[in-house]
Amino acid sequence: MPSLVVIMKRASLPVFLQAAQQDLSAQALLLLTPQGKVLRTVGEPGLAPEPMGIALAQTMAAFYRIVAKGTGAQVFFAYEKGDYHLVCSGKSNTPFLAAIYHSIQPPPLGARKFYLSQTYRQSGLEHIEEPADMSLEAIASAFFGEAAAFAGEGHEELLEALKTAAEDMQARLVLAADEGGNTIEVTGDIRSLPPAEISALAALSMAALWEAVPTQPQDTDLGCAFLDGPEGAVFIAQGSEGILFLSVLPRQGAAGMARLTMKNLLRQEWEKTLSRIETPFEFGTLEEVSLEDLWGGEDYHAN
Amino acid sequence: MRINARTRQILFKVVYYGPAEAGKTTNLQQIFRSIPSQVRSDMTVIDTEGDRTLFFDYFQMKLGRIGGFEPHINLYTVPGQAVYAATRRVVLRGADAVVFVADSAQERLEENIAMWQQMQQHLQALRLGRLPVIVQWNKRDLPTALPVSELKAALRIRNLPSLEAIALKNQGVRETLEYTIRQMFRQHVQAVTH
Repeated sequence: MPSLVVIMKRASLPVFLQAAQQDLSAQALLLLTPQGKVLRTVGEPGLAPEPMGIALAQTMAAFYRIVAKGTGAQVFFAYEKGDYHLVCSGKSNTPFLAAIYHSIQPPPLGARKFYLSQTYRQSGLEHIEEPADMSLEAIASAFFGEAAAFAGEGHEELLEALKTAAEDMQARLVLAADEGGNTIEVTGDIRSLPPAEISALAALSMAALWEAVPTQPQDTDLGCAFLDGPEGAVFIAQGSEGILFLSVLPRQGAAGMARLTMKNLLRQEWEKTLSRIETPFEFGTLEEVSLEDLWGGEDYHAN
Repeated sequence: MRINARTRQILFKVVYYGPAEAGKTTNLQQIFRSIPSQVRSDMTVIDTEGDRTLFFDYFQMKLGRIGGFEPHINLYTVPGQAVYAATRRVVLRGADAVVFVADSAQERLEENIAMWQQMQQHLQALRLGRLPVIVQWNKRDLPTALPVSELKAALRIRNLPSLEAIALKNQGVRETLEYTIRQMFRQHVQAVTH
């Protein structure tokens, strides 16, 4: 049962959101349902509300599984593609807030996280106050320098690059995935962070966002997402070629460092490396597979 | 399909597609329960509080070893509601086979047709026109279930492989998946040898 304070806050929500939009210096501030329906819009989003709302809701739900599964905590998520910068904050299966910036240089990520997370907590959309742990922001511009040259062949080459990136970021996990959600290569803590599931969640979320934020092809070949929750922070960089790189950072990880490292990783020439990865395979043996051994779980005999 | 020569894994992607509440998630749940836990991942379900699929359901299963490689099948569903058309296209990306789960009920025929046509458009747009598509006529136990011949005629798919099922009772689920895997493997063999 919501408290009287919460009810009063909800009644004054339109005014509250308008003030919040100005505080955030955002083009638009949106209140969305967990299904992606836009409940309120303040300002001019500049993007079609329906596909964007759905993509954001799906992404929030998918990413929540990675950084806040089972905790009920508030999470923060940021996405950028071209001049569009989207940030969201909320909890699982509750309405959440999204702010849209359409500019070359929006406010720093740390500021956007702080103000949007605070706005969400003050909005009365949730009852449990949980202090946001500000771990973010700004590491050196030195990492924009020349990218490291990678040696080796195919997977070894890619794996080495991921290991280097993981070391630079002190990441718990770094992986490369394709547009279909398959893990191409991974390094790090794969026991507690299942790469197959994370690849599926990340690749499909990023694909949905990529479609929901239409930019001219010449404007960008890069989409980036950052999410933060009680289980850690995740940074994702996705290129137009379909490959994406993802890193899971510890709770106190440096997001600025991850952002630079992952962008640099994506900017390598991976096309040739990936073509070497697809080694010849004797496809005839696929027809010999026996599927009989597959079955035998708890309900098998019920059939 | 993606091959990792270093870890000797082959990854395949199978997508269960179809109209809302036709039984896509039920198919996945039955498969999940029917195979031993040591050869599958946990099941990822991204749904709403009303248990309707918001984004997709997913899990991965292993198929033993073939020629020194370990095939993994990634199984996905799409959300069936009309508003999620763009999401269905996203989930289809990189698919190696599609199971179209049709609702056999007479009153759902129009939705089946609309969803089938939309899927064809998505497959063309994604250049997946030659993908193996297997049709599952689900809910065969409903009193209003149309004869399969009528369903085939309505969807204009006389020459495509199809199987009957009652997914809720775990009937036809295993057969559909096995058939799909075989068709998928056959397609890859043909793609390489021709």
